[in-house]
Amino acid sequence: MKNSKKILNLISSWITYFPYRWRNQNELIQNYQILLHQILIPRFSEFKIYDLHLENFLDSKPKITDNYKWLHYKFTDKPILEDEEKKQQKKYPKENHKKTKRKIKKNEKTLKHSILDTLSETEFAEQLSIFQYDLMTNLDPDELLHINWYEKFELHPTLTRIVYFFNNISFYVSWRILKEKNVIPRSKMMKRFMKIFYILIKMKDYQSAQIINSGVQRASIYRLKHSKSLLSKKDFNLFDEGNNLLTPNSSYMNYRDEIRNFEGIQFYIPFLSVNLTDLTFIHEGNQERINGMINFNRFRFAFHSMKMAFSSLFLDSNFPSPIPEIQREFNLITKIKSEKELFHLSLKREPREPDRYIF
Amino acid sequence: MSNVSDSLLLKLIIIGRSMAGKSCILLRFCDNKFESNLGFTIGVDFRFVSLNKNDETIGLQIWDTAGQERFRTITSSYYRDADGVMIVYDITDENSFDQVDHWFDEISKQAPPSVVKILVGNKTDLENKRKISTERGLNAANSRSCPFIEVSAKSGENVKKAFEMLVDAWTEKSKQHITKPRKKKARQKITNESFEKKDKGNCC
Repeated sequence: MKNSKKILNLISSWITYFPYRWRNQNELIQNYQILLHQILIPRFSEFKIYDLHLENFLDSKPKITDNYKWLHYKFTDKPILEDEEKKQQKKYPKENHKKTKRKIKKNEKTLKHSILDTLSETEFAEQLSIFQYDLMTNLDPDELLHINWYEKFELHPTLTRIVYFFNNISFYVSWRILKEKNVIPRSKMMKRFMKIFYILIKMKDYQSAQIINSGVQRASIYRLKHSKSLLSKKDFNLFDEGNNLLTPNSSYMNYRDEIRNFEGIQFYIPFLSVNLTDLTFIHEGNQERINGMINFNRFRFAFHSMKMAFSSLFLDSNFPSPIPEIQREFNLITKIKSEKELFHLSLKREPREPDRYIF
Repeated sequence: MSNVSDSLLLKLIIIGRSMAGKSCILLRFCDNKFESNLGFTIGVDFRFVSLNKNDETIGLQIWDTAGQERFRTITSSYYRDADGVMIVYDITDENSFDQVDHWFDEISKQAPPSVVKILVGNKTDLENKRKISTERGLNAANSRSCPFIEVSAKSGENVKKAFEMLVDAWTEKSKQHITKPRKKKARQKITNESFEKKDKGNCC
């Protein structure tokens, strides 16, 4: 009976923490019910206890904080020193909120992003990294376990936020460069973002680094030959160094080699899309069941991929204090232009040249 | 058999809407290597396949965007230096077919002009759920002058053929382009000279 109880407790914890894994799993639910009947039919009172678990939790929403805690224990074997609330309070002291209340200006639209221009490259990188860190630590690992995360946004709230944030900031980077009408300031802006990219690589925030990188590498920016010609070799060398690390060549081999040294030892923010690709292949390339039995290898692979993504995220990080105003500003950035508009703007800034210039 | 390293190496990209079955096609084409040897293949380029064609070995380096489609901006770097692009849609999903236009647009902007394309309708094993007829697929491909094929990643039907068709299209296009680079070089030389002459003229 002891062993049976252990199994039932395990399953009930499974239901408690991952209720939506049970949705539409009729076979699994049926098997569970049969198991309950087999084990607990002589003890009807206990049967009710375990049966209630399933009914209560099937329609409930995932408990993100609980899962986060579970993940933390799982990967670090250390208790959480502060709960999320305290951590938030520490990061965003209430006094600061009062002090930095911004007056809404008439011309808010045009000034919307100017505050980000006032930051130095290092400050920009740090603040972006802090925002990214908050997003990543709120990511429920169970969100990643679903292969169809694209279809069911409501089941993947944080992942959706991470994706939107990635695309929005990346668009902002391209737009900010193209906003400059003259070549010299445009080139300076390009240099600024290349420097931010390099700093982010050094800070080991690979997710944010890739945001900036993709903004600078966008076709509408990539083609700006005049602006690029004003950049020094040193600028390009630094940029290439980081770019080489995040190249998709050989399934991001350079990046994987790099983080292998840090895993569980040193803090870093992972480049999530590498893990998403791995998880896609793990799901597609491994059957859920083999001869009717659950293929635990599939989950083991998924676990290792997620461990790679999260194991270092909970280690000590040396972030400076967040500037609430800047953090809000990042949050406010929405998709500024479409890909088409950006390209049009790029053509306007540097029109296509006659064939003789193409080498 | 010739050595792959001495032969042709093509960079191919698979794109399309998420859930269209891109990763399945790739896995099927790579003989499910990923499944059997996963621990080792993560981080190693398992998407490298050699294809024997007319006693010649062609190395295919296949890049796919599986799992990254929503990070739209990342994929732009994938297109650079690509030789061929496979655009995949799901024949049971109208939305994935609607996005085909978007993918062709993206290729025209991001990929080099010499890139060859193929339109692939996946999931022919789900014939009873089919929403996109073969004709519609074929018309879409014809309007963009690219080959078209329907495949089933699940059963493996036509998967290899799709890649072979893409390689054939590339071979044919590269034959046509043999004379073009020469022309370009000649034109470039002339313009450089004319620039020099012009500069000298200005000085004197």
